[in-house]
Amino acid sequence: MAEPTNTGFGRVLVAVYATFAVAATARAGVQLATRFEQAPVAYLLSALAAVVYIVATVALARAGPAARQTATAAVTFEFVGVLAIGTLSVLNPTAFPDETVWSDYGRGYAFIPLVLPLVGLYWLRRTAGTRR
Amino acid sequence: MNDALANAIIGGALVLAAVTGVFSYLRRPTPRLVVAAVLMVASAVLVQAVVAAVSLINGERPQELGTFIGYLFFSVLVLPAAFAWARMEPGRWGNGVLAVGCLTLSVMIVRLQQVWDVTGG
Repeated sequence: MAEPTNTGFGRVLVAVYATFAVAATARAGVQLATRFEQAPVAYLLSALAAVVYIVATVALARAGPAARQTATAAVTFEFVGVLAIGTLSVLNPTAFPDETVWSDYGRGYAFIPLVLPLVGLYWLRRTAGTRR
Repeated sequence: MNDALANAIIGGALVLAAVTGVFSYLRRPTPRLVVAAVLMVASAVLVQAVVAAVSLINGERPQELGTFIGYLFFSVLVLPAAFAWARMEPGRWGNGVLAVGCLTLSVMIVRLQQVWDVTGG
């Protein structure tokens, strides 16, 4: 039997995800509202990161197989996202004029954005039950 | 912004993050005294938000007004949200959630001070 993802250590994980959902959403909101025209692509990616965190938070906080699938997809996307945006922002800093959550692999957030998806995937696997 | 109040909140939140971290390690429910301290810090955050809102109304302007208001708004919510989420699972993980909430709050207040100190022309 699969265990719920939202209890035990999962409760703390959901709290951290919720924090990043709020942080990324607020940051993207300010960027889109005040200076969208300066770097539309970077700010849209910033907004995408926010959406991914929101989806991951909600999916991890809910029990059930559908939520688990959604969470796995969102957390996997998150990991790909932080690697892709992190690499792009290091190679081409001018394309990302100010910080997004995933810039420089999440350096502005103590690299938590880089570690968080790995912890999330570990937790999803750990609670998956008999399927290994 | 009142720096003394902000520093007190940061200090209090960091101490509470450590204390709830210890109770998480010990797998003990959060003692009532610690819960009271969390609620006290939450009230101090609310007072700070009111003080900052009054300064804004009086015409003081940080350069990044939107960012400042965002931090101010969510700083008020973080401890109540952590508290509600932690209550459902007292013991190791509830304390862990409180520790995350307290750490998050301290970072937010530091950022709030930084944004405030860069005042616009």
